[in-house]
Amino acid sequence: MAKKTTYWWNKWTGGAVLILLLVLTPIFTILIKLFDTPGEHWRHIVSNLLPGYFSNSLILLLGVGILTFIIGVSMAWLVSIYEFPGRKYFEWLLILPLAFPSYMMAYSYVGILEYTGPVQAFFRNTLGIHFKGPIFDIMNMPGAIFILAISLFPYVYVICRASFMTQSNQLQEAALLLGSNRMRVFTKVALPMARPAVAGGVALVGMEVLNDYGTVKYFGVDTFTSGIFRAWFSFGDINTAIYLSGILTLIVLVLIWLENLQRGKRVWSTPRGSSKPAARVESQSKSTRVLYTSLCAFVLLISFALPLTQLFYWVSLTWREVVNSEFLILILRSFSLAIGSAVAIAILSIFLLYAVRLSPLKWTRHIARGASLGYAIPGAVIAVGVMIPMLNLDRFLIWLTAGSVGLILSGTVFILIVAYIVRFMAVGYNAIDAGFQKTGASVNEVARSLGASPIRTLWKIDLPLIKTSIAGAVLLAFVDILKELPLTLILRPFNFHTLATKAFDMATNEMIAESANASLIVVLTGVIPIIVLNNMIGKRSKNLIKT
Amino acid sequence: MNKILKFILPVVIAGVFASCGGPSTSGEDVVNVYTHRHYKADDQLFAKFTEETGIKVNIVNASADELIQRLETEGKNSKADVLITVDAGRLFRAQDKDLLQPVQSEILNKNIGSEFREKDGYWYGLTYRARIIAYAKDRVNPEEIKTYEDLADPKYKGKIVIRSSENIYNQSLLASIIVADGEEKAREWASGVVANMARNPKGSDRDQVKAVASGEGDIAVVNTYYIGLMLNDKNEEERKAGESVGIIFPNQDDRGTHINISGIGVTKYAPNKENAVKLMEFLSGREAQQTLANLNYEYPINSKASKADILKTWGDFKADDIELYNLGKYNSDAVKIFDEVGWK
Amino acid sequence: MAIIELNNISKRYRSGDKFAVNDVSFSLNKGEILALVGESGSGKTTLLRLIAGLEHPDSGTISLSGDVIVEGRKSLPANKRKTGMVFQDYALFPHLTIFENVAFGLKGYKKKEVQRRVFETIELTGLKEDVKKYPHELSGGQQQRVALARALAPRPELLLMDEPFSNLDTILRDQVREEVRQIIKSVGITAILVTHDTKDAFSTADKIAVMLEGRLLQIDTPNTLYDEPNSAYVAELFGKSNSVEATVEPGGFQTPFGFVSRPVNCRLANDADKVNLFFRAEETDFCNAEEPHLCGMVEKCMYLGDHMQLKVCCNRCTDCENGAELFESDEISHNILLRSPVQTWKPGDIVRFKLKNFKVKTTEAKAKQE
Repeated sequence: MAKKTTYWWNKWTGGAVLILLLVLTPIFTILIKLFDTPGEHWRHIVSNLLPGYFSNSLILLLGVGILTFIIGVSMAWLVSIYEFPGRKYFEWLLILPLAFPSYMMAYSYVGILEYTGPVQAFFRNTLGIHFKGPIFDIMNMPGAIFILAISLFPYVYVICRASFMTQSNQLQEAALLLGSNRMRVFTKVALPMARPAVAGGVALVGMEVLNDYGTVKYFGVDTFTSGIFRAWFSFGDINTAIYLSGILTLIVLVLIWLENLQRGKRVWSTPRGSSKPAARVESQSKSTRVLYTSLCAFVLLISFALPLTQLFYWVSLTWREVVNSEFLILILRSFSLAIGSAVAIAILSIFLLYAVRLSPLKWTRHIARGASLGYAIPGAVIAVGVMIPMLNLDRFLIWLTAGSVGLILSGTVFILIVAYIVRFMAVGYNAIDAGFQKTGASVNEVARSLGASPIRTLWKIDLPLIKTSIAGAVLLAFVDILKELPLTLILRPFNFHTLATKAFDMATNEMIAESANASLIVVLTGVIPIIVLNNMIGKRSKNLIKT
Repeated sequence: MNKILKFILPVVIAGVFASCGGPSTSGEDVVNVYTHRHYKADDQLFAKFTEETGIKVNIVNASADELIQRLETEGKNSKADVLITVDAGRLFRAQDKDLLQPVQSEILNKNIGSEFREKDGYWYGLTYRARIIAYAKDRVNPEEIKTYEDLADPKYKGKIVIRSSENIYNQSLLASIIVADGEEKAREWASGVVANMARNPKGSDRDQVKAVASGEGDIAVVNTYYIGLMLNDKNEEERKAGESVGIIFPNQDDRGTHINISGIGVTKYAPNKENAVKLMEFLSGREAQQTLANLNYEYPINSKASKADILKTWGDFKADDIELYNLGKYNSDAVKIFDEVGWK
Repeated sequence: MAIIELNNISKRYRSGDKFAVNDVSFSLNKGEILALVGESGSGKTTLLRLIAGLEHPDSGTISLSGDVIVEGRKSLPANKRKTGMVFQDYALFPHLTIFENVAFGLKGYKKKEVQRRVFETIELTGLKEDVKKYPHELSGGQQQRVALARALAPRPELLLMDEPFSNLDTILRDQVREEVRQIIKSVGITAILVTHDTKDAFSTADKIAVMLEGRLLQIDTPNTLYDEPNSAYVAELFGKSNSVEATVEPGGFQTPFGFVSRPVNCRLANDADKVNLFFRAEETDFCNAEEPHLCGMVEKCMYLGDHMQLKVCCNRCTDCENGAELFESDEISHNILLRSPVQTWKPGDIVRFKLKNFKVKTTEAKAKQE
């Protein structure tokens, strides 16, 4: 008779716990250091800079939050409810700004609007209007809010759109029959029902705002993240940088807690029986339809088309000098690093989710969810948090081998990959979780009842059935990693650039037109997965409609 | 799909690690350069050096701060041979952190004047640049501004544009003022300039010039080579902006205009010390100096090298003869003052 | 020999202190088919999954063919137990062909043996489809056969089926029930099936176990359960049962609907005063006024396709000389359900009937009438 095992602990659960520890270590490291003494520059920062960090971060969060809410929700509403020319295309076109990292959008816009740029030159030379002063100046707080809002609103848009589209039309029709007009239906029924989705989307935007470094640095807005960089690099004071990271982490955790609180225990979804999405309103006057098309086109223009055109323009001017063999190596490195890390994330996510599937205990799922925490923590903080244990590990190894090895962990891409995993695990986790949910647990259980070991079941049954989800996970993580800036800036090995850091580097060194070459590749690479993924999402929701 | 995965994964991982790169110390003759400079001229020169000497040049490019931090962490294991920065203050910091070693060479002493090198030979200047005042030709009378200190005069309220205090060039400028006028007066000066700013500091040196051209401000502070670059830019608008400003070399009647150097030093644990010295000697030679400086509109250190045309039109000027290491010594004081007076 | 034996199996729900399965014990011999019957939440599916190894109990033991597979917190993983399972939604592997599906549990067998087994089992289930087809190309009924074949191919010792007939429409159901029973019997395998439909249980199983709130109420042959339910719940489960109060009188029992004469071999254990009469709606005959009968008035009538269900009350019946007036009281309303062939009944009609079969119960004694 085969051996009986204690069922509530197995190697899968153990592995899941290990992965969780790996992911949470940086965060714990930072938080623990809060009890240490901060560096020598701390007092100077507290009296002169810290209040500024707080107020700027707060203003940014509020401004970007409100703006993305307005743009994202209104676009989602238009696209879900109304029929107007071009709607089918706008549905997915409006996601495209996600492919554009905020800082690259910042560079583009500065190029468009600056004194020697096309807009002002046009006014001056063609129209003879000479603008004095900062009418077109966006290198300030409002400019930063604008740039961050137009590059981040798709988060709210996508989540909101999904919510609107799955809301039952019956509820809205009931409201209409009770005498509400469309606007009231929107404000009193559809929007409140979408509230958790919207809140989730805005929270996501908030995380990205706190994470941003390239934009705020370029525009001269001092936030926590830029403060961390300053302490780390300009002052050379690592302890102060860590301390700032700790404070920022606390702020983020408070935000997460608030978001969970507001979600409460209320039920937001409609019962399963009424799952037909709302039929589109077509009876609008021609001018209204044209208005809707123009609104969408305008948003798309300023959030994607315009900056992209500027990139193309700059590339046309400078590609001959920039694109050489070194540049191609840069691309190769960037891509292989991103794909390698994305694949690692997918594998770990599969492992975590499979452990959840196999384990009968509820807290396994909580463990797995905890591994997604890194997504909320700003990249700079994760970089700092990963660096410390790695450095210690390296020093230990050096001591162990009596100095014959160099910095083999903290000095190579290894630490970057680890940090990317910590930061972007959530992306892979959510995508693959959706896949597992879709295939259901029955096939897995049947296979096991037929005598297949858990590994054989995973390999032969579960994995083949979630192929598209795995591909989606790798794709999403790949794009996110490619765009990533602050974490990479801090942790990159010596003489190692990614497309993102190269663009940042060139722009900061006043080679902004040259930087467009790297930027363009990042943006174009980001566009493809969005189109592919949108088809996948589209197919799924179409299937929902059929049933 | 599994099969594809099995193929791609190892290739990807191999590619990642293989492309890590970094300076090598294989059998061939090399010199490993950690440099902050990112100009095309440098690449040309290094290629020429390899041509002439057969020594391969490995370049690692990053900001001086990162490079210094890197050298610190690497310690004895560092493969760097030389450190090149665009500011004297950073060289001082590197020296202060015991990351450099002194070298002596007749050629270096012949090519580089003593005011441009560290007295014990820890580092040597390669080019220098002045931080000058650019003014709107049609709005400002250049006779009225003679010194940096004039910039704090309340009559220029709302007229001055200057970049952020985060930039090392401003930090070094303030350091030189601390040395010249003392800390109290330096703080007063910084405070006065902040009060006169037309807008919050933002953008690069070039952006300051463009702000003057557009009328947002009347007076800017900028490094000389940026003017040169603007006047020769492909974009016509840049050229027009550059032409709309005139330049003043401040403090000609007292200590002289603030200059800063781009310099080079040999690292403490350099594995290829001889090659490093050879490279330095090459870079200080007349021909190299000409390429190095002129393609970027900087001033060559070697007095025998000829200047770019635009610099010739500006003529000679008196340079502040403060010992350059002071720019590093007073750097953190400068940063603190900036923060205290709210110079963003 | 008992193929499977459960002893004191208990499992708590994860949150709270309610039991999913509460101290369940039973055993099955080889070749027997057991139906676990109960409403949703009764624990029947959980119990099945405990036997399969997909869940684990908090306490108790399970033995399969004499080997202990579960003992308290130690349990054999699902893939090591010799059980086969058919899921409610069949859970066929969509990316594998029929052949590959059925062959899945045959890992480690030689290729020829696999082929032989697969075709043999498929034939057994009566599936006549090309084995290279994929599940989505089959109808529901065919998918079920594949699921059955897949579970049987490795020749498990115990077959578990979760609601095997609930996905089928009523027309197919009878036929499929019969077929499945035949297949199981011809293979000679022991089987446990879970269902909420008592008809499934009756037609397919040798033994039926009734579960309520995690407890095993009764496990018996279908006939015994029908005739001798040990609780009102079990009785209710297998048919609409009426319960009527009666007082004991010489020769019979006086009910609100009239007088019921006591059958010859009906014995009461002691001299009880009040008893309850139990009879099913279908255990009555309609009769006319001349014979001794019970009567009542139709309150409601429901048309149920092949028969009608009448709700008959007694306290408003005035048109009767059978003693109904003895219970004329507005407070007490006695209702019973009667089954009638399809006729035009309407509320207010008088119903005259007599009992074919009934049971008498007092608090202490139990008597049975044939």
